[in-house]
Amino acid sequence: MRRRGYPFAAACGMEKAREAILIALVNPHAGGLLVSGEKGTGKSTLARAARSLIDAPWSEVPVSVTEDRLFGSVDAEAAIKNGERRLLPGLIDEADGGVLYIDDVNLLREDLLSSILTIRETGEYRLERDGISASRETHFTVLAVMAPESGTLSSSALDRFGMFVETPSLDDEENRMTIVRRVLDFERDEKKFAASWSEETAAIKEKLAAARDILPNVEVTDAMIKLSAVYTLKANVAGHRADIYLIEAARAIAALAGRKYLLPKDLERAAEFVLPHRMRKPPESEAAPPEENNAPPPPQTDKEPPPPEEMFNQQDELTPPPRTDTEEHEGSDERDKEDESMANPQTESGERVDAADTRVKLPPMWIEPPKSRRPTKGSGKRSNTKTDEKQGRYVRAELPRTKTSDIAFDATLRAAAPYQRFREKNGMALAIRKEDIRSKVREKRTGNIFLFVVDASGSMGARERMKTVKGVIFKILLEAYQKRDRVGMIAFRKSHAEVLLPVTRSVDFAQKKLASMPTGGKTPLAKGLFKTEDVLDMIYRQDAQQDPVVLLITDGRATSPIEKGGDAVADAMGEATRIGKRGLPIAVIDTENGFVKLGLAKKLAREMNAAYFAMDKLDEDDLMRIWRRTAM
Amino acid sequence: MKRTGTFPFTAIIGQEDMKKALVLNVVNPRLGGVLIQGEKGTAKSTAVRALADLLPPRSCVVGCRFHDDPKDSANWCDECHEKYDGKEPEAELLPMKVVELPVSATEDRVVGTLDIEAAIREGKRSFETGILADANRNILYVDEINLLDDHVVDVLLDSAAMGINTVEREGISYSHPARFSLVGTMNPEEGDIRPQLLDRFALSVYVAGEKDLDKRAEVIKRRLRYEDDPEKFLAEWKDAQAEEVRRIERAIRLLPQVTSSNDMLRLAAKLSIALGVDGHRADIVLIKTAETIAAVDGHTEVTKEDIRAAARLALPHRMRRRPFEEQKLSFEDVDKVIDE
Repeated sequence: MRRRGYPFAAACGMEKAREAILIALVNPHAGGLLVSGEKGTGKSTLARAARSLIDAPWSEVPVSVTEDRLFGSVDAEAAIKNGERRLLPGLIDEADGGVLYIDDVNLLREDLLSSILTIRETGEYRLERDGISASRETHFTVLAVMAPESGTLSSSALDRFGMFVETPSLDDEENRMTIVRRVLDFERDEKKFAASWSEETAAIKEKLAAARDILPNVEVTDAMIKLSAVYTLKANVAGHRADIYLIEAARAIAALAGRKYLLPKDLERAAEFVLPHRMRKPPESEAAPPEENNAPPPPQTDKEPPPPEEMFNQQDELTPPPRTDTEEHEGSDERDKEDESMANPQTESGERVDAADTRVKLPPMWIEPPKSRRPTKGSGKRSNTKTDEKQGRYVRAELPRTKTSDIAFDATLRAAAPYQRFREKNGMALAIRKEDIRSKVREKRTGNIFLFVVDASGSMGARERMKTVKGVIFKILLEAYQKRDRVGMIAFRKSHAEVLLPVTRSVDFAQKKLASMPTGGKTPLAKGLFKTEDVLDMIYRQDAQQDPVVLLITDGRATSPIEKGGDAVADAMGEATRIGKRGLPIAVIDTENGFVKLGLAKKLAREMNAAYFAMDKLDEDDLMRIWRRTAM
Repeated sequence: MKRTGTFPFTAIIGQEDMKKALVLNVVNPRLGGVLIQGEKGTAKSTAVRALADLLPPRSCVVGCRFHDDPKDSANWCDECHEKYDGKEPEAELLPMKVVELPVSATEDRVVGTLDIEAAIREGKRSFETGILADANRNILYVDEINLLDDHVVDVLLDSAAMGINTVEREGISYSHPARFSLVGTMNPEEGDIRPQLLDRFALSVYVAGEKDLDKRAEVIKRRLRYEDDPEKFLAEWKDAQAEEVRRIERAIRLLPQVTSSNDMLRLAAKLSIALGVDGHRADIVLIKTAETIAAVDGHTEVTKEDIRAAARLALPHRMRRRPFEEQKLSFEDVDKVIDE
């Protein structure tokens, strides 16, 4: 379909992005461009507008692309009609000498993107499919667009884009008015609008063509190469890719200015596009790697001394004697009570509702993601899993292992095509035999299920602990919201455990439940774990293909046994062992603090075969790392 | 099963914001759709389906799979370009439709796929259209849009943004116009909607059950009367329906003459800045909505009041927000900026 589109010249207030696009179009060796911007900033409009600036090929990769169209496949029509085995070129072939445009690149399957970027770097690829074996060359510039709020690219994918630019949201009235006026005019009459910008468009085209002519003659002196190395060293980028991209982008800038030599300012300008997405923190400030399961956090010697306030608090905690678990635990803890009444309003029954402390820190945690034992159902962003149902994205075709009803007709057709000249057809154009049948391999993004099991007993209410716990869960919910995970929540307090929130996709709803969760009373830890098993069973009944992630948040100090007169701690350990046998990814977040620790939560974690983390060692960067890892 | 028709749009009681938002999208198909959020049983789906009876006929190229507009050659499909390049195509009047996208739809049904019959009979590789082709120049309705599979959302986003459906799959390379008004309904308690998709909706409304006792009773009475004898009920509402169609047609004719002064554009920009909304879509939608409201109201110059009314529908879902923060648009803030 012909696309007229919004004129490149009419894009208002995006000078930097416009320049980056021109550089990418002038010099393919600058490594292509990734345009990132908030929704509604016009990034796709601008990038697509670049199409009218070049007379070279322009191929668009939709997120729904299948491999045969991307990389090429056998031409079934030619095979059927003439018995020829001919290659039908894919998009990367069609883009040869021009641009491969990818919208919403962060939604494209990572393996496809990686292949595209590899082919872009090497300029060649081998095709082995449908009985065709070919080595081919193709040279294209990748122009990609993404909205970061729907997920970012991995740093390795980012690094392979030569340049990166962001489209800002403009904050001044004049610019915003101009944008609205132009968009309205464009929508009212596209042809007329394009005509009114034809002079500007022609001027840009001319400038671009002239720059492409000059480019081969733009010289790079040793001094400029050294300067570029200074930039890349300063930015502490990995590898040498950046150096090349930096110089090539600078050459394009010089060519656009009509010069055959580089100036330092060209490199300086190029650095703004080449370096931002690959800059790393200097090595000394890099945080420690995630810990292994069950290992206690290392002593934090390299950290700054705690601020005076914290010192004071620590000393303060020396005063009360360490408590062992007694029936009257929370009621008798006068100090805790005093703290409570000062900090939070208390309800008549001794319950309290704490706000979430959003400044809370999390420790480095590493939850082993469940091994993909079987196909998984569900929809979400976290993991790519193969599905057996007729749902999910059609990725590629394969020989069916069993009888299939999910036939990949295109692949079947290609498989049957070469034999048509020899087969009896009964009046049809095509005779398909059983051995030709191919089935679809589908892939579906699935979100994880997170099951929070929260100790809401009185001891958790002490010293703002609950506030911190809510803060931690709040953070995890934030991530879950972005990844479209499902969450459930169990709370145990007084004499029983209850499902506060059945497993739901509405993370917003979960947050509301969490905010209003009261604390107070004894610690029926065993019952909490028992309820957890109930819920796990229910999840399996609904969907036997999901492995939920369990997050148990407690100080481990069980005070209420399953039956009167029993041993609360022993009961809890027994339940923990049973859950541990399920082999699920579990994390125990230990909220115990104070001078003398009983270490019950740690023991619990061992019984459950779980990762263990102490809450007071948690830090925000660690949190992000954990979730990235779990998301893999 | 013989369908006797749907519950008349004009017989729906209350829910004024929802009805208004839907009508605006009929009057101006380029507005950009509406998201209707609310609990179960608040007539969300009924209203959208009832809209079908009010949809005006519009001119289409005869025989075109995408019902192209004969006058809008900039957005023609390849087939129309090939057949009518430089010529006037034959046109026919066809009513606009509500095309439903079921939540369980697979990606190939949505975007279109390889025509298997043509492949087997004639050995030809040709494109079989999907729901997005039907949806061109129509209303695309997704019930429970928050439960839609992520990869279907991805392709929806792409088409909604560009007005073009690009298919590169199963040996097929094809693109065609896919400009539609996206109408979604959802119950927020059943899950959130992806922010990117949310932003694509020009308007959003929240509906709640009727709180007024008398009105509530009337809702039930009408529903019972309708179920008791649909034909009789429809006959009773025939005049009201016809009047609504006339109102919509008048607005459609007036819309091209509606203009917005620079002052109104500045006001829209001020509102967006003051309320801290993301991107520029808010300003554009605000003005387009105000222009459409003016057309429905019967005047050709956008006024402050049009902007005020537009803000109610176009801004609530665009407030810059982090997840979980209550996103309550304060209309006092809106009024303050407008009355300054």
